[in-house]
Amino acid sequence: MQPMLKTFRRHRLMPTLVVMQIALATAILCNALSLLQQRLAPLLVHDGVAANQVILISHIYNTTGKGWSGAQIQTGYAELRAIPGVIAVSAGSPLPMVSGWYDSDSIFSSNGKHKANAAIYVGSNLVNALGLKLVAGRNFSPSELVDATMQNEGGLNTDAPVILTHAIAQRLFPDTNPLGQQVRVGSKHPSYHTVVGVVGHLLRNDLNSANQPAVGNVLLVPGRFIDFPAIEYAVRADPNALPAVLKSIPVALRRAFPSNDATAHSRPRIATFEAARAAFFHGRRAAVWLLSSVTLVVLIVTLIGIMGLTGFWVQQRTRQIGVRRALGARRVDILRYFQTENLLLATAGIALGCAAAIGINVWLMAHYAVPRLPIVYLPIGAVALWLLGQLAVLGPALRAARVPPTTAMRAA
Amino acid sequence: MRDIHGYYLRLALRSVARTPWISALMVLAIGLGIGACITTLTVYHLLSGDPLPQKSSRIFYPQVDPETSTFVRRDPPDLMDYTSAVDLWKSERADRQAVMTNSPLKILPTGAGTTAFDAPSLETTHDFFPMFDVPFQYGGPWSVADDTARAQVAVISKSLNDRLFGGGNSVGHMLPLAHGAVRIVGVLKHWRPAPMFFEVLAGRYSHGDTSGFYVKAPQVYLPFFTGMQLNAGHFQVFTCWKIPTDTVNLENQPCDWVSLWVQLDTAAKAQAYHRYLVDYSDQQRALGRFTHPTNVRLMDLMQWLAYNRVVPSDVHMQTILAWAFLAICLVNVAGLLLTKLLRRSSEYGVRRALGASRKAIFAQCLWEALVIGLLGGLLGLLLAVAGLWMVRQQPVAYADLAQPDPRMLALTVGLALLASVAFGLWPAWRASRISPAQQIKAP
Repeated sequence: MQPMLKTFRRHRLMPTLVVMQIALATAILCNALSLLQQRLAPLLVHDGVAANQVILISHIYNTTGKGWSGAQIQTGYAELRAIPGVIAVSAGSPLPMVSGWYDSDSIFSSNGKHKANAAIYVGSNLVNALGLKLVAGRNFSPSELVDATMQNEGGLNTDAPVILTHAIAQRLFPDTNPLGQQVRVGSKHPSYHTVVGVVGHLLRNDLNSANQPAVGNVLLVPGRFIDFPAIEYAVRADPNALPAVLKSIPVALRRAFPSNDATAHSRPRIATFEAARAAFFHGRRAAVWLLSSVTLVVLIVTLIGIMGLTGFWVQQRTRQIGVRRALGARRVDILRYFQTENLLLATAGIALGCAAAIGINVWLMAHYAVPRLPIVYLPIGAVALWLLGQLAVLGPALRAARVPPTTAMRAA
Repeated sequence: MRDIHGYYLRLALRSVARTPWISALMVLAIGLGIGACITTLTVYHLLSGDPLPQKSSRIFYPQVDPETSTFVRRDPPDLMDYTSAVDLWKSERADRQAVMTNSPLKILPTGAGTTAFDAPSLETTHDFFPMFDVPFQYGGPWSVADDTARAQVAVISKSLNDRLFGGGNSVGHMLPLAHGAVRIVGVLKHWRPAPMFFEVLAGRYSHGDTSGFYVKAPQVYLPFFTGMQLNAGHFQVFTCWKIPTDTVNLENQPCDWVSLWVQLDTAAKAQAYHRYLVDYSDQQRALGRFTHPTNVRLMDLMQWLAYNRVVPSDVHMQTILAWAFLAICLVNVAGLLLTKLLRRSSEYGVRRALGASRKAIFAQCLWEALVIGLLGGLLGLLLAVAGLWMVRQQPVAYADLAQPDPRMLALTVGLALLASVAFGLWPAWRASRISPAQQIKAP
């Protein structure tokens, strides 16, 4: 250790450069990984919807100002349900992946101890139509359906029961069984809702940075829509019948929502859940690719940089190595020497880099909608850079270890 | 002097050629860093630009708080209610003023094989066109009298004119709508303000996802009061402070949904207009129509855009990331260049012994950095063109704006020089410090 530090003092140039490289790489790596995780997380969360069975229909707008009547929405349901191969249908609003509008609020546990932000999906039969898996409790019974109107905020101003996703159930009731417990939606609604079931997974449709830690927080409300200007449907069908069902849907919709009516000016969008999901995540996937390639290139550039510097620095000290070998140092001692040296430099760089990473993050938070850098990225970045440093030093150190003791004597 | 630098350049090129791998590596690293920077800076520049550079400081966006609910906002709502907007517009206290709102408008083209489609439309008043310097291909705006006379006229965009009339002069033709037709009085030239500033609002609720501000301009422009009749039921409100009793005719509803833009040619006029807004707000409260404390704003165009944080946070993030990336590349290339130069210490020792000054060694080494930097810049430019192509493939509203731009060339040269100095200065200085005696003695 002592001779190493002396070396650093005597030759400040090389160690400084290596420390700088590692510090910069650590700072950027931590922040890039955190951004990457943010974009990637929703892509990795299980969406809970039955694979290859679900079709989503959105953008059925009525712009006469009155909204679609309950009877029209029911006709739409019946027409879709009658298509051969269809297993379940639900009117819903909003729906995951397709809705252009959001409904989310703070959900409070009845004892007032816990709260969590969640997206609120209202629908007549969403659990079956999306093929969600109940992990506890039961689905809504038909008698529990409430009228969902614009006036009662889609059924939230009623005492309708609710189904929670596992994610939010855990947040609201960390140490009790959520079934039978009550929740309150937002601070405006006075009514309490009893939890009757918990579904395994479901994604919210408003995935902005603020909702990042809560991508799976969803609350389901059993609502029968009346006088709603925008309505959406989820249709679950036999996977084999899916293509045929896709073709039949436009005809069914035309019967329920006459599109020759000049006022119903928006064409409904019909897509399988998988297609809707791919479109919804397109931008996010692009960002993930961008961030991961940047991270990778940063690592490669740093690796090459450290390798070049260390290689040169080792070469410069060939004679000293020879002397040490001649004085009895074994090859493995030389190897360990350079590895330890790199470890020390990397540690210094990492320490600086972690401080810089936090600094950069604080600056970003102050100026942009960037969440706090989770502390866990600092050790991740540190380990990555330690390994990278060791990888970079391995070649030059091995070469150094092969220096024969005679070099010392041969040299001038 | 020129000759000597020509000589250094030749030496530098020879040195680059002698270590092709390490040089290629350096050029690649600089190229990647510069390419990332140019790509993101170009996009950033396009999105953060002034959409109305010749007069943006004279264009203002007035805000009042017309709401009567118990909840009082810190900032006034992003839009006005109909009554306030029309009152202020009618007062004509500004040099120019236009009220506006937008809606999807159903077009029913005549002729076989054509189907109805929705076109984004803007319902506004005469002053919109001269105030925002909207360029006309054929015809011109409707008259001031047309505004209040509810004239059945329209101005259409170039793209709609191309689609419906094959790009010909369609002034005087009828534009068939769901409820009657309107006569076309003007056709715009290609007009792509970025952002589409007159529809920018609510940016601070968007969590940085503001790429929607860069959509293309509307295709149909109708006189405001004509549009109110023709397209009733298709207007969207920003927010309502009470439950509306009618969602078709929004004129008297407790909702914010109309915007007002004004042109005020001097600072004194802007001050006077601000005072007028305060007076109007006070007066309305005296009349009982307003209940909240007077809270008015009069931001100019660029302030309004900044307030709405128009540049998407993704673009910000990418730009910052690109700079950081360039910094990493520079530090690493500096290291590589240093080792490369120091490996040739004995050569510099000999040159110094033969009479070359430190300055000469320094210049020679800097030339080498310059050659690498410029080659890196060239590679970066190519990568940036590819990078912009990749941006154009993204599903974002501003994708079509990400075109290579002649300014990129200047930026490249600038960045390449900057990079060369940044990574070359220190190694060159170190190399010039080499003491000749020691190097000649060394094996």
